[in-house]
Amino acid sequence: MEQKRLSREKFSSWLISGAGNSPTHVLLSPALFWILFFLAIPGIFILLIGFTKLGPNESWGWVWSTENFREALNPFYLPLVIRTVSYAFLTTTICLFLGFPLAYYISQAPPQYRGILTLLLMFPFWTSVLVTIYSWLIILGREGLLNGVLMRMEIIKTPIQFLNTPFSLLLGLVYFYLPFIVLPLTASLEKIPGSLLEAASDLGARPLTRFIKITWPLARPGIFAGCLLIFIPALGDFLTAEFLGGPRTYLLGNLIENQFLASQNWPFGAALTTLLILWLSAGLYFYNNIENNRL
Amino acid sequence: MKKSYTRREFLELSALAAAGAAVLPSLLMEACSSGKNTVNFFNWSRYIAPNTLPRFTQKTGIKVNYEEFSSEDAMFAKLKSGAQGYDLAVVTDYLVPKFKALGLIDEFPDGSVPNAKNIAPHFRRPPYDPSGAYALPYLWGTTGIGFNRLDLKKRPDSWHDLWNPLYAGKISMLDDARDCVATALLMLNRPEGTQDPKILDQAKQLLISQRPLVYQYSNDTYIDSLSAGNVFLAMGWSGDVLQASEENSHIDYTIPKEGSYLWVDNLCLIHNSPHKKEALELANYLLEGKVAADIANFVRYATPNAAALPHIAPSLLHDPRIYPTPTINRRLRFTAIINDETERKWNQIWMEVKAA
Amino acid sequence: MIINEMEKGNLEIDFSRTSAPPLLRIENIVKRFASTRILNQVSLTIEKGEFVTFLGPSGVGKTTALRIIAGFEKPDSGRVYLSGEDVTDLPPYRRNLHTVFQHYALFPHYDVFKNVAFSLELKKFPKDEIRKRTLEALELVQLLGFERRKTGELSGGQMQRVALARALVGRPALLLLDEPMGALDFKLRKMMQIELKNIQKKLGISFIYVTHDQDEALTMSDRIAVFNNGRIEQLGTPQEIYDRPRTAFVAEFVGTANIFSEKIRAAAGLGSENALFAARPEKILVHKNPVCSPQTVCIPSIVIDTAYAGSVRQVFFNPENGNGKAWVAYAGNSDSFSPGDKVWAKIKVENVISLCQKIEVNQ
Repeated sequence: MEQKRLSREKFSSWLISGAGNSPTHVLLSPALFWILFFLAIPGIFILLIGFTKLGPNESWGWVWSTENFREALNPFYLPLVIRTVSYAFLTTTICLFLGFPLAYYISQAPPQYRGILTLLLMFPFWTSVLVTIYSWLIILGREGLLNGVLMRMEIIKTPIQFLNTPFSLLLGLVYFYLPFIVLPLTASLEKIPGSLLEAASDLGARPLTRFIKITWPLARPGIFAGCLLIFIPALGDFLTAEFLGGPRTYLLGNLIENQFLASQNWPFGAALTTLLILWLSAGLYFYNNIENNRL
Repeated sequence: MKKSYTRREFLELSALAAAGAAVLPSLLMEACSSGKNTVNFFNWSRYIAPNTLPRFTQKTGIKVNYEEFSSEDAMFAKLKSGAQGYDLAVVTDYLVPKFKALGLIDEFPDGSVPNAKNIAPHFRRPPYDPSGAYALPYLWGTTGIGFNRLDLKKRPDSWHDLWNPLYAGKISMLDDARDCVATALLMLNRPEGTQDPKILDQAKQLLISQRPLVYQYSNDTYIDSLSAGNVFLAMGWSGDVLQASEENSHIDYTIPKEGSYLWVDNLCLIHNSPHKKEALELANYLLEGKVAADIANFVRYATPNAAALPHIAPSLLHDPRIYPTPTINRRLRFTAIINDETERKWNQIWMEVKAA
Repeated sequence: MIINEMEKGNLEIDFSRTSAPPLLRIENIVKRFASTRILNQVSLTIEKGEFVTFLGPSGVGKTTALRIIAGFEKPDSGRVYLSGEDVTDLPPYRRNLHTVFQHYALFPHYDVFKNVAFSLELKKFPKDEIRKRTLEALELVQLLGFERRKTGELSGGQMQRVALARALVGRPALLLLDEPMGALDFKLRKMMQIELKNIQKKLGISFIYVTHDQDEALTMSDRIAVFNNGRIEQLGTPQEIYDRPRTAFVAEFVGTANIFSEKIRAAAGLGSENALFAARPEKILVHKNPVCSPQTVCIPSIVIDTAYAGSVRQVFFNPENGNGKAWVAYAGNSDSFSPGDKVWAKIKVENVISLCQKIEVNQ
């Protein structure tokens, strides 16, 4: 009893003042508050709902069941998962290939232009996602801008179906997520001292070798952060798929959204969400281990 | 009114949904003004005439706190999670039994809404409210096929036109388990309440067989797709399509010969309303013939109010797309009211159709 | 005689008629950044096995000259020849020379071994060979046993050695060192200077060594090129540079020099009008009595201050007819001078340095 009280006191003093005597945790309290209220509590809530049973009229009480998880692991959803992962992976890869030269260019630009270039990069964020989606609808439509131009130039005779195809979905995803990799990559590339690249050239590395042996490995933290920033939201994306994708591009995000809204089946939606987060965490954990072993 | 968004409203809604607001419990919703002589009214966006509520306040001295929603999913989620502060709400037919079962709405006490007598006989005691005590029909419409006359050689007249390979990739379907599964059962000429797994599987196969032809499953953007020529045919709701036809005269609407569903939006009394008296007064006012006609004339949906018909603009009254002819009327049924188990099966079917 | 020496420093030996071309020859290099001339008609020849230092204060173009030789910068005009081959337009990776960078530029994601082996692996040497040569290089810089260390775990001196080993392992004909000891403390510097010189002698590789430290330049170099205003102001052996500086700039930058004002020159009866002369402090004797004799210059002065400097005492004094700038000379610690003492500064005529007039600046 006494011991328990003591350890509780210890804990509270740790919470307030950190390990040593420095009051670091007090300074961190806004962050702790944020994590607790905006991450931990909703997260636990979602986890718990996943284990409840859907009652009559789409209500859900605290009746425990693992049914939702069993249903979520139904092999029926496997193609959906594979499709979603493929799109997220493709999006990430394309963004990486498009984003790297862009980030490299920005990182090499004179410092006074870097701010402007970064600002331009953020331009799509200045407007609502929906507005940008609608502009894509206008551009890619059957009688849209792109078809209009192509037909005017007599490159095509009949309009091409751009919208609601895997193409338009990927285009939308890449368009939205590209800045997410360029920013961390630029930061990473900027940090590579020019002398390292000169040293590599000096020691006989041609530009390509230099890139593979120096730039790429040193930019890895940025590449990793950027890919993560794309892969994770792309995995959960439903808005882009809803508007720019067709019937063949129904994704995990759409399924989850559907559970929470149209079907009003929160328990199943929560179970799907929990599993998605679990997969991601496991993936990250293993990746991190591999990465740590490399170094 | 089902989901009938203007583009602007739709943007607003989706931006909210994107922010995750739609799935957050409305714990933070501030309680509406609880002073005397006020009433809190929760309605679809743009689903009332501009002068309706000011005149009500003028007449009765009751202040109306008016709040709009543009997605019934979001509205259902909001009320289900226990949002306080609403007195009167507009609720779509199939949600009425659910709300009743969940205890979200109360009965209108006998004789508390005298103008309920104005409701046309056809809409009294509908399947979704057999006692007629929970829901007062407000406006109604149908599910049918919207199409672009320019793109089609022949006017569609059957649900099977949505399965015509000739229009592959030019077909839009509603993204709604109820509408689609019910329609599939209608085409198979099977009862909608069926639990027979064989029949349900047939319905599923029918919908899956259509999938390769479908350009999109959508409840909102199909109007744009029709206008832009991305699709030629769209399963849709009368209100949406007719609104679009005002902007684009080539867009037309038809109710297939196999028949279809009509849907009704109703006034419902929210459970434990703190302003019950005022809510009843507002409901009674909205059911006055002239008032109901003003609303119907403005929003261009059909009114279930018999006393309103003399005041309806002739151009609307004689448009069979809004007020179907008796022949068509016979082919219309109320939205299927199915039990939980059936509904879950339908949802499962729909999920499999879309995720397949 | 003085004039002769002066010319010698400026002389470029013409190797074009000898059979083997010089290791490095740069000709009339001009480099501008924006509109500023960083290098102005710089020419230089370096022979195999030579240790040449580029000496000068910062911002006079010595690092730019090094970067042009390495290939990191292209000259606006002029040519660079390595062993007779024109490499002006070749990228760094096609030049047979390596560089030791000011801040070492070690690859942080590689350990010591991989850093050193970098150039060998690029050349696709067999594994055994890479290993053998890398270990040899590490032995040369006394870092055997550090192969698996990460670069972040090394001290400044150790990083310096790794950088050196990395540049030497490929056995380049020419090694460029850009202020390699700038970040080391005084003692370590002294040690590394000796070590570096030994390595250079042992391997017979030519070094170009950039520094602003005159001591370093004097102790290590075979020849010193003193840079000023984008030019090589004087090129010569350390002794030539010190004993017979060509210009006031060189005289003052390398060691200390007391410059004769025009009036002092006239009073001493040296040269003709406007000729410039100087004297090193250690060549000046300060006497309390006028002990002037023939073949000496004798300047009456007033002592300003003295300072203890270990083996000697520095005496600061104002020469009569001076331009206000104090002169300095060394005296024994036993000599006692007080501020205000009237003294005579005596310099043997042969110790008077004749400088050429200020070099014209082409800007």
